[in-house]
Amino acid sequence: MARLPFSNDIRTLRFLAGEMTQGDLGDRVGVTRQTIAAIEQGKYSPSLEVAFRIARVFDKPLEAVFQWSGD
Amino acid sequence: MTFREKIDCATLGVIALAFGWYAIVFPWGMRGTSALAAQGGLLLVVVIAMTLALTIAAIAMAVHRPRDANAPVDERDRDITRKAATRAYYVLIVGATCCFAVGYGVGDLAAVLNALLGTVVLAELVRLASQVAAYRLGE
Repeated sequence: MARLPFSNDIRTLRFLAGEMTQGDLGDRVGVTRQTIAAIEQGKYSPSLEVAFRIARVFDKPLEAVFQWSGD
Repeated sequence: MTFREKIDCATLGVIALAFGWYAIVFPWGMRGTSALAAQGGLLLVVVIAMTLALTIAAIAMAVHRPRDANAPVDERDRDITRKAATRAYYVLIVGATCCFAVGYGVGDLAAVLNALLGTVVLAELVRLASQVAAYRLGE
């Protein structure tokens, strides 16, 4: 499977947000725990809506959560 | 592993086993109406066995992890389902076209029906395997 051209800091942000679990984040975003895990591991590219929802949970701009690392 | 992923794995295994058994016990040398009767009887057994096995598996998984079983479908599930269905569709179209093309030459209805059944089963296996792979490895 091709690697996604961006990385993310969701794991760090969860830790900084009182060790929020993947399940808690998933519930607040409206996706399953497994989807959050897949996003964190770079196995799934979320929709723009879910990306914004994740950023809003951490009260951060989108680019603080997702960083472009492709060409 | 999500509830859907477990169901996909179970369905993949059950279909492979059920139709593997069908392929082993079907009297391939038989022709005409007796072959059609054997086909109907075996299919009935396969469908009943698959329904029972998958119903029991789904209930057991739902009882074991009720929260997972009630989780709503999210965008990743929909994305995985759509891509897997697309792959299976290609298999189905190519297989069905080949069956009809070859069927005219063979002239045996039971053989053509078996080939069509094989195409449907193969397409379903491709769909389920694609879904399991996507859940495990990512798209």
